[in-house]
Amino acid sequence: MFDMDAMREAFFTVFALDTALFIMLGVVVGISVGAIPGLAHSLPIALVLPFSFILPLHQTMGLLIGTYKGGTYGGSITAISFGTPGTSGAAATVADGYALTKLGKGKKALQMGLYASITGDVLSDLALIFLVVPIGMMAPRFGPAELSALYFLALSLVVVFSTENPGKGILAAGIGFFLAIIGRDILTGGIRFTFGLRYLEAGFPLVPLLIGFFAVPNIIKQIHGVITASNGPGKIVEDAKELLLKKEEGLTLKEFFSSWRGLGVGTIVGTLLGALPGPGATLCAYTAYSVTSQISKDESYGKGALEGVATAEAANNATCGATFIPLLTFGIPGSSIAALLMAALIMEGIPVGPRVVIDHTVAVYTLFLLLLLANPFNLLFGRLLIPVYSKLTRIPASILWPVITLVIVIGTYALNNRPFDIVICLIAGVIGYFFKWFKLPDGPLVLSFLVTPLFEANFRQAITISRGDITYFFASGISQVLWIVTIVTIIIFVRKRRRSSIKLTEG
Amino acid sequence: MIAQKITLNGKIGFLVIVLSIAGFVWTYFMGLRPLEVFIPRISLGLMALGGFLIILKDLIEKPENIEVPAKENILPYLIGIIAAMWIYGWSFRNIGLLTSTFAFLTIWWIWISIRDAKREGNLGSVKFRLVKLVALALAITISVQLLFIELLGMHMPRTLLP
Repeated sequence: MFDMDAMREAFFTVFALDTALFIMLGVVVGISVGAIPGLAHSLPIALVLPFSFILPLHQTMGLLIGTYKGGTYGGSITAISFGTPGTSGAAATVADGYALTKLGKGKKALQMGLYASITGDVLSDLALIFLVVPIGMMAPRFGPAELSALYFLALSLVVVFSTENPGKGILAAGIGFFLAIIGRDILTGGIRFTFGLRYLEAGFPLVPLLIGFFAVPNIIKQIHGVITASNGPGKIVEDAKELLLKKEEGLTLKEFFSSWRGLGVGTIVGTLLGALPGPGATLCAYTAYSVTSQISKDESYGKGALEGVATAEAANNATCGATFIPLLTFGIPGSSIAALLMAALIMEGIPVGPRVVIDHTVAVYTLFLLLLLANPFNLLFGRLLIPVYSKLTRIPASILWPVITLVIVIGTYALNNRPFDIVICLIAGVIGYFFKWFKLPDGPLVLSFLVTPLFEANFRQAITISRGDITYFFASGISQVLWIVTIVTIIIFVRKRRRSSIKLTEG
Repeated sequence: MIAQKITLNGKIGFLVIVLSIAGFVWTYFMGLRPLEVFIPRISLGLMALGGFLIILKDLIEKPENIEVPAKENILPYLIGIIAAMWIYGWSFRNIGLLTSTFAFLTIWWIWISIRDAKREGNLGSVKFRLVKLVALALAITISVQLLFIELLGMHMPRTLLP
């Protein structure tokens, strides 16, 4: 099975100066673009895609993989520093990451985000290398019924775990469901809840929704603070020296290893779910975050725990390697970025699919090595940028937040050059403000918004295949296991809730 | 007794139930096929259930354990900031990216600086500070232009000014 000659050839191709330079360039572009709210890292990947016509495989894929990995990590920088996820995959990092920044532990959170990302990434790459065949064999056994059960499980986990008040969790999930169904019906094209607005026929776009939802409430809070109790906008210029010299405590090895549960859960969930077409980094991060909330011993989980950052970041970066599993084995791109990477491979003359490992062994090994080699570059440039971002968070709000506000507006527009996206971002901002005010959890909204189109498509496919027979959803072994896990999880949660409310009443 | 216990949480829960039921009834008059409105009905049903559970929690919990909405009234700021963001979005597409970005930052910082100086009773020191802030606004404006237009190739419609 293992071809030593092919590996040797791939090794000498990858471990060369030109490859290193292309990976480095990709990582820098990825981190920089990923850290700008609104600009998904699929944008630079799409921009460099035409280079596949002129560059050889190792250079093109080095550039693209570097951008992908750097961008996936880069999204966490603004999530932690300003409470605004740079990419949708970093949305689950906001709760704990931003809370830590507000507690003056921004540098610790940024370092945890980086190390957790690298850990998740490396382990997922190794999983790809060793498990590409067995996991790849599992993927096609997930038909519409199994995927419906899987998405239902993911949604149930987030709703039941995310809040002490189940009513608020269900309400948040319901709002997410509702926002996701606005627009054209995925199968028939019927128009639903667009209120006569032509722009809404394409539905609520994810990135403007997430930017508005997370960023606008923070902007309002900060500007409110500036207007009611300003420190003076000139302070930044006067205190520049002090700002640059001030040192913040970094992450210790003990703190890193004490988050082993989060790192483990994040990596496992990210790798397994990431190997399936559809879930993506955001869903993986939220699912892992919810699972860890139940096993974490850190009482500050959700309110500023390093373990929360570790879980979300390990999970979203663990999807980087896992995305290649269905891509290489069956030619199924699991996400839009995977589709771009697949397009690059096809343009390089590598027809992905079941025979790719046999027919293009050197190319596959080259990909494996590129994935592994991109991690130290990600670590290096991540480390170099952390001091810059941790200092940025200490700039007075009256200087920093107006700049962030303008960048968010331009970034939202730049994504698709569509003015209506700015309106969507602002509507999402109002919803986000309502969520903050009414103390609704954000996880169920984001997750149900992502899961609903996938759930609906698979559910309706299953209904069509089975001609309305509901037992089809429970027919296979995989579906039965998933439904049992869902029911058991809900029962455990209800019992736990009852016990804690009895304790509270007795107390 | 019950009427006294219903807090703002419960009132919002009740409003959610009313709106969800209204939406649910509306789905029967939309002229869509049953499968097309299946998930929308689930979503509205979930919202109604959520609202009901919020009211129920209000009624059965001890008053001190009820989670109340945030008391800070920043609604005027919400309206103001949303309006400012929309105006900026309109102005950079119609007036010009450089002009709008520079104008927005400069106006904001001049206003805040003068207001702070007035508060401190130290209007004399504001001039030097303003010069530095205008220079900063100019630097940020150029960075925005370089990043979004030159590097990322963002499409811009024809505008009156740069």
